[in-house]
Amino acid sequence: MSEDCFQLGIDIGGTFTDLSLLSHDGSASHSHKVASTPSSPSKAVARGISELMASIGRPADAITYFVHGQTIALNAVLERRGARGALIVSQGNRDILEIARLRKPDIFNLKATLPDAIVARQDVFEIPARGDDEDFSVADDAIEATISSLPAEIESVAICLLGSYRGPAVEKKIADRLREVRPELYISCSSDLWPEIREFERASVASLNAYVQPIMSRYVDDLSIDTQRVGLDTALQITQSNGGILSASSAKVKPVNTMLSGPASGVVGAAYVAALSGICDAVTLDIGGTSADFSIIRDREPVYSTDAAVGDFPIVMPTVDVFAVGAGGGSIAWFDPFGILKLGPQSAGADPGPACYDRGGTETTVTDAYLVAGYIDPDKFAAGNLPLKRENALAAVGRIASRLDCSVEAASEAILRLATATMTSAILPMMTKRGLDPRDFTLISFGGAGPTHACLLAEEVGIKQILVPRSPGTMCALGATIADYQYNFIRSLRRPLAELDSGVLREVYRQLEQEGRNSLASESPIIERVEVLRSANMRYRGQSFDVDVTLPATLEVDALTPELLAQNFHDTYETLYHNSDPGSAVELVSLRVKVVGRRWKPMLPPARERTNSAKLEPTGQRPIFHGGRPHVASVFSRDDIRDGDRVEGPAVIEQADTTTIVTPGFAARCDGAGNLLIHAT
Amino acid sequence: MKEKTFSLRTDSAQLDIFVQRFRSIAEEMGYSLQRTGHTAFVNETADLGVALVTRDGEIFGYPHSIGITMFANLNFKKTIDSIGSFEPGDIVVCNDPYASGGLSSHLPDISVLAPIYAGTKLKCFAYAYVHSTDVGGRVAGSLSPSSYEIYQEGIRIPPSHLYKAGKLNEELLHLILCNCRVPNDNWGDLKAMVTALRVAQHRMTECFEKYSVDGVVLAMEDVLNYSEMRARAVIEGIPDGTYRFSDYLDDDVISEIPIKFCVALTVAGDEITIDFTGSDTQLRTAFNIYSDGKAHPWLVYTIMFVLLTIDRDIPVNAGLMRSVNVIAQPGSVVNCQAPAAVGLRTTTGVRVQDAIRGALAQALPKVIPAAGAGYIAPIVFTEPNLAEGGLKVNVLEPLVGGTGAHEDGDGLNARDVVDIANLRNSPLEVVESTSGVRILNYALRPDSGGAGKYRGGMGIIFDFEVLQHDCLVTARGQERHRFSPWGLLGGCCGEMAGVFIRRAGTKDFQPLAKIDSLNVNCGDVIRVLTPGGGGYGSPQDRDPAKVLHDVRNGLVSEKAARETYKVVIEDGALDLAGTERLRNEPGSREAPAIFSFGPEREAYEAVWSEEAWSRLITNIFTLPIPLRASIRGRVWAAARRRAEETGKSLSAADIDDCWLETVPAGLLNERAAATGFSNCEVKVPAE
Repeated sequence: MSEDCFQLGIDIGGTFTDLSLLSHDGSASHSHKVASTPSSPSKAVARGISELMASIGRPADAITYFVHGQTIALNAVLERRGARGALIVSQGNRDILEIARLRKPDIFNLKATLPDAIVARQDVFEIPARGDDEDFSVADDAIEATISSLPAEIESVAICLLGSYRGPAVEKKIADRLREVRPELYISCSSDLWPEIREFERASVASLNAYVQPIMSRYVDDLSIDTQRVGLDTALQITQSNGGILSASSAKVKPVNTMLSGPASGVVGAAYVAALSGICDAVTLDIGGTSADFSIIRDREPVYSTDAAVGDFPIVMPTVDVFAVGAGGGSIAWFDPFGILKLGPQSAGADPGPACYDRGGTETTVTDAYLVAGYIDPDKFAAGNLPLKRENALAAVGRIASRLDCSVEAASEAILRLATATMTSAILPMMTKRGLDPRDFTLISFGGAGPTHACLLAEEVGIKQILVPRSPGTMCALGATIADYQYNFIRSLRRPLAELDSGVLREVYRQLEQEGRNSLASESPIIERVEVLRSANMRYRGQSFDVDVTLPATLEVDALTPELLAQNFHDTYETLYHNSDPGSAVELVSLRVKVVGRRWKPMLPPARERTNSAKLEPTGQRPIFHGGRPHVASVFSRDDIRDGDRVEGPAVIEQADTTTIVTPGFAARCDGAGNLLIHAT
Repeated sequence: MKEKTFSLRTDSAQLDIFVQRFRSIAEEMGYSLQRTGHTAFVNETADLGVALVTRDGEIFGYPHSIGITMFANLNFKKTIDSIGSFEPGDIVVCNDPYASGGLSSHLPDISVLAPIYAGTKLKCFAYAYVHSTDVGGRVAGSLSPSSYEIYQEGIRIPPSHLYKAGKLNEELLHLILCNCRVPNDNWGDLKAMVTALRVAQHRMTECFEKYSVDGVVLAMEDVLNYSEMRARAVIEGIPDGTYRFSDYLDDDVISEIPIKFCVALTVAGDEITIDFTGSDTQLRTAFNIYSDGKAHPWLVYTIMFVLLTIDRDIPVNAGLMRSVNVIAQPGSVVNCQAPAAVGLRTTTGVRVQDAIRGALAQALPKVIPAAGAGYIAPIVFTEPNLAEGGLKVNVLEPLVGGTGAHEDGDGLNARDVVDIANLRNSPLEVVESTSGVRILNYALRPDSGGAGKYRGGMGIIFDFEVLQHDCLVTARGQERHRFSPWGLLGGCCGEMAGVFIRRAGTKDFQPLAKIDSLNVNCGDVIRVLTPGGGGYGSPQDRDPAKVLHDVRNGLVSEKAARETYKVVIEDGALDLAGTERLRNEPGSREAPAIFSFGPEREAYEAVWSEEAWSRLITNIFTLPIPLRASIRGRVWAAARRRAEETGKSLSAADIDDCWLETVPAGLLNERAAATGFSNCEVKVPAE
């Protein structure tokens, strides 16, 4: 690999399309911004590529790796702009999407509403067959009748039959017949996408996939054509919700796997940079305009959840576990009728945005409070691309101050305290739910305002170490660029472990692994090594919830026995709940395999070292308000900071994409990887 | 807004921080309990509760995202007082409603309470409960409608020390577990609750350190005062007046007498008083609620939902309900006395809320929805355990119906009552893999939602085939088989519940009365229909496009579209001119009554007038509590015979006559002698 080869990452926003280019050896990076073209997003991408490559005097075919995080699929669901599709279910199950799991949103509200279905009831068709019927020829006529009665307007079909978690044969038969009769239709089978017991969740996955597949396919095709037209000559990769990537052609088949990829990539990036500093366990904090997003990294890997959701639709495939809290830079401070100060959940968003954006917004926001408290420099916000108006912030926070009868700085701190409390009150229960204590973790802060707020949150929660990556604004792009190929597979195999045959156990694991290896082989030649991670969901007999037990990587398939599985279950249960019961019978629920295709990763340059005896000097000083009084903070430029440099709080560290605040009582140090590590002193 | 006399002492920029911290600590407790709990109730349906409680016994920290939603104003005073003095490391356990002032409202709800100290001073309490799978008693699972004494419903634990100064009371623990069918699960759940209490102790200690002990104690009081202020401001906006309403449970499973709930709800300024006088006497079945005469959550929880529907921002804690008072006569079904059985208080509590909403709908017709299904029935299936001997017992599905329509839109399909406990259903694939049944149908029930400008939510149709011999089906909580969920402002009633069976080898479904305990065999198919929610506004005002949408989607039949909604659909398309004509036909529009009750309730009340019922209850309440239920049965039966003979509505005088006919003379005289109560009152016919 040479400096002549580049990796390209693109991120399509509502207003701008961002491109970032990284040379393979990490020696150069470039970024470029073009206006988005919402009606045909690939046009902006193509134009951006030509402009960017022209500006560095390189041809487009110098790009040898092209990865893309997209929100097309997610937005299609949230805005209900997906395709009209049909859903085929077993007899008696027509209302599977409507009955769902009986959960009611907005639970205290007597007038609560449910969002519109993504498949209308009139487009749900019942057939007299189960997914696990051994002889399903009886349903042949019904299948023919159903296929011929499908409306002409539909573009896609989802199939989810009761019992199909046991095997794909019946769903596949319907799909095959559909392909013969209506070859233009996109088809999603639940047994193919995620064959786990629980029919509603499977139907949700299949229906979501069918809903976005036509849009996603057109989008990916357009993107290939338009980028090839400007000379790009490499296959497109798309990021997945599990933090991995897959080829664009696979993404067209299973777009449901990409829906929550945006935040997932940020966590993958954070895990990568943290590992460079030797940090294995961390909580990530990404503060953007409307929310603060948290996630957990354990043992250098993002923690996964199997109960993520898009709107009301569950996504049960392993997904990087990101939870959003309504406290972002745009969150609005307000008074209730009794004069109590509150924050959010309303947000000024990016448009009109905080008062200081001077785009017509007058509400007081967290960003206005940062400005008034001296945490951000109005002239350097967003690398100076969006100069902020201090008077607006003063006026907005001033209104809060006059109601509170305090100084404008004290009012700004009151708003920030509320933001901190909102985050704390949300993350502590979320961590407890997962059996973790945030104080055992490093806080990795990124996004526009993560590093600005990190010390405040650490003070409140009692977190002892904070990491600020070198380039906190580009974690998602970095995460996408370094991501590995990753696939998850599941096989439901519900039975007492005592009745499980070792041969069956080993055979299922082998099959799942082979599926993964086949997928990898068809995806990309650039995989350096394949890793296979096996796990099993098990529980004590009579329990209604199960535990995903990861089997040691050292355990060979041929060595696996039900007894070994049981032993691993008892051990994991003991670690989690401290009340394992080795005498009790254990039931197997499902076997899982994660297949990872590790890629060669571009280097990140190490921190620069001091070449002379000069010391780090502040670029200036400014007051910041903290703990009820002003402090004179030294202001540093992140560009000036070298390996081993140490900055005592109160201090402000400025860089193009964020401002790091080191509050009194904390000190920051730059380590060899170029990360800032902030500790309580 | 009226100037308030009380004010908050906590800094106005700090108060919401405390609101959030207290809620967050409670949520941590809840997740900790759910994670470590042992039984399905804890892990699957999250039938659990946690809270932070002041020294005075009020909840100041309550979770939002986990556990039961409706217990935010449980009162702990009686339990705390009954223990008297605490010391660090104590944990009190109880499940007896009568000894805990209703803290546990039926025996499966095992409660634990631990004092939290700052130094040596008790500052507050932490609380947790779980619904245990079984606490003994005459049936597995401990709950049966036909239990008539609390002794039949399981072991009763008055507030007692499970831990004393950190030391486990092993004798008590063994006594408890010895009386339960699943002792290991119960001990697992108890341990999980103790873990949750420790989380609270830990987090509150951090708060004391961070914000000062006095500051936190002040904040506990202030978050309560604050919610109270916000709630009072909402109540202030409700028009003053007394609003009356009544509703019924179909029967009490041992007779066909409906259980009646009467509500006189008075809004005066910023206070609400709910008078249940006139409601039924306590019963010799398990439908009673022990409220201790207070605003117990099972009597008033819907008020909390109403207040939060109007103002979603009020912190959920006991302050929210301080301005709500109740009057509930001792010995009534809403304030029973020991040893009445209380196992099915959910069924009763749900209908009590329907009655309260009916009263409030008169004051707040734009806020209150029409009646929901008011139905929550777990279908329990018992089959021989062929592999291990004995029996297997599983819940197939918890069945619910549609919610009521309202001023802003249609009711929700199959979501009524699920809000009280964050309930979930079971996947059919899981049901079929654990029980010997095949589910043939689990779908919405077309045309079941009450028609209206806004339509009630649809109920459910649930058909299952039995695959084993010698099985038993029970379904406590089946309701609305006799009286429909009412419609509002011209909206029609929701469809009533139903249950049918198609015996193996036969062709047609036969209607059944409610399932009490039904023996079934291989090949039998049982069909359960749950009620739809009531409609809101006249069906003729419904947007024809919405009617067409419902017809196309198979939720409303073309027949109903034409006859009820007066919408003409030709070849799948709207005939707007035809619709206009139909809707303008003379006589097609009458000024609607505020409520539509349906012909069944109208027919019943044509016999059992308000006057007659009121006289019956007045008379019954002169009797000693243990005699009320049986005398009620006799007088009711006599009165019905009389009504059948005369074919007329019953009067107060009729009731008095029946009273004298049926009540043993000795008893009447005894009462007169013992209490100075004059028989005149019952002998003199009413004017």
